[in-house]
Amino acid sequence: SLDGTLAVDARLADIFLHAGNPLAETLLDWPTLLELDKGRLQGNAHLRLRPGVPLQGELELRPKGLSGVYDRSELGGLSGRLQARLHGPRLELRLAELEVTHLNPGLPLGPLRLRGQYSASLAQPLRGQLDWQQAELALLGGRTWLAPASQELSSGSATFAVQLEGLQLGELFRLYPAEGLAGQGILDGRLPLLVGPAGMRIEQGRLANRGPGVLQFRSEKIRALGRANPAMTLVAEALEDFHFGLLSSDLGYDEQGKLRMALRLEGRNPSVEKGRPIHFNINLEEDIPALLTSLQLTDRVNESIRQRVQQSLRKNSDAP
Amino acid sequence: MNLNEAMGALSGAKASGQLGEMPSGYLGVVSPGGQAEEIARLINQARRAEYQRLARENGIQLGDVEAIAGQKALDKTPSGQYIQLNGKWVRK
Amino acid sequence: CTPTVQLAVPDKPININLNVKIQHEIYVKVDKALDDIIDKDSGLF
Repeated sequence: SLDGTLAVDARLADIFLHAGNPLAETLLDWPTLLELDKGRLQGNAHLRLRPGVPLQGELELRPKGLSGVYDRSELGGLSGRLQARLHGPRLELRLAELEVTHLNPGLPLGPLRLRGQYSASLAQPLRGQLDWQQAELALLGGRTWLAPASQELSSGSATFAVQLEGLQLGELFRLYPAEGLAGQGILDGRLPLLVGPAGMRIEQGRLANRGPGVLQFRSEKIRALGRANPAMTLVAEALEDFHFGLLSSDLGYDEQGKLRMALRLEGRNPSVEKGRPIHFNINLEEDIPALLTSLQLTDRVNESIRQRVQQSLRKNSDAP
Repeated sequence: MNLNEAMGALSGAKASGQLGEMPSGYLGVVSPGGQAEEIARLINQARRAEYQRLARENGIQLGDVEAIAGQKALDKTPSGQYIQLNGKWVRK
Repeated sequence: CTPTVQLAVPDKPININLNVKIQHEIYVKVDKALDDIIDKDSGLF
């Protein structure tokens, strides 16, 4: 127009199938690991360029039922409304709503629901202000969530008070890649999550059972362990049908994916030692990446992720 | 000497204390002489090929396969034969 | 009165301490494959 303003309004094509697309070069830095194979993406963008006035632009994306693979996780039913606004040095991203009905990085999760905003200066895009009204993920029969709050990322790291509620032990054992593990019980917990340049870690996490439960570990491996080592005989027998009143744990998780738990388990097996109470102190160490890798390598996850996992593992093992 | 001959001579060389197992998963020469070095070279070559195959098939590091194999080889060495413990040859 | 026999269930709890390090299936498969190589006379060990 006469005063040199260049206003551009664009409506994005409705169907959008592959990650290599014009959108990737605009405001959003399109994650290269995202392959979308289904669903619809609507959106419009508005750019205003006026000499002497900083660039102004808005972009709104409305994904509907997108599904595909992100990194090593299957995702399905991604719908929502994402808005990005750029005016001069300020960048604002708003998730008016985002829902992913299911995710599967090795174990089925979801739905995931997020609502929030993030604003930052273009100079330091990663050190802005994050506010969220909803951050919730259903998993293992229960859910994990963040209470609505805001977080200043100016220091480059942030702490999130992750809550856990109603996690079903039965579901956890059903999905865990080891046969012979079964049980019932409900766990709640608090997991202070620290996110920083080195990655994510949990310090002083806490898990505790809600009400009594049962552990039924019956597998040839555990029985063999019991036979091979006399000290383990009682453990193997007790855990065949262990009725517990207390199952609690301190929990730590580090940036390398190492999960450490100091478990306290109190209960009895009615048919062992005439039902005498047995108290366990168990220091447990689990390697989450190895766990997820072994889950992803089993047929529970779709073929494309399995190939991607094997490629990346082979890439590492070929390194000199 | 070819691999088959080396395989044939391996148990004798171990029994006579010329060769021993190392934590690295490979054979080491305890006392040189005769064809000890040659047997060790050929056998270790064949072992490396096996370890690489296992590492590739299971998508884990070659070093992990070697370490597990080494541990097993030490455990399974019959008494009277040599194993290497922190750098020193020891008769089991 | 009828004599009642009180089966005293030993109530003093048994305390067990355990350290568990979980190794994942991939290593177990390799472990088994190596056993086969070492046990059956592969001529390499």
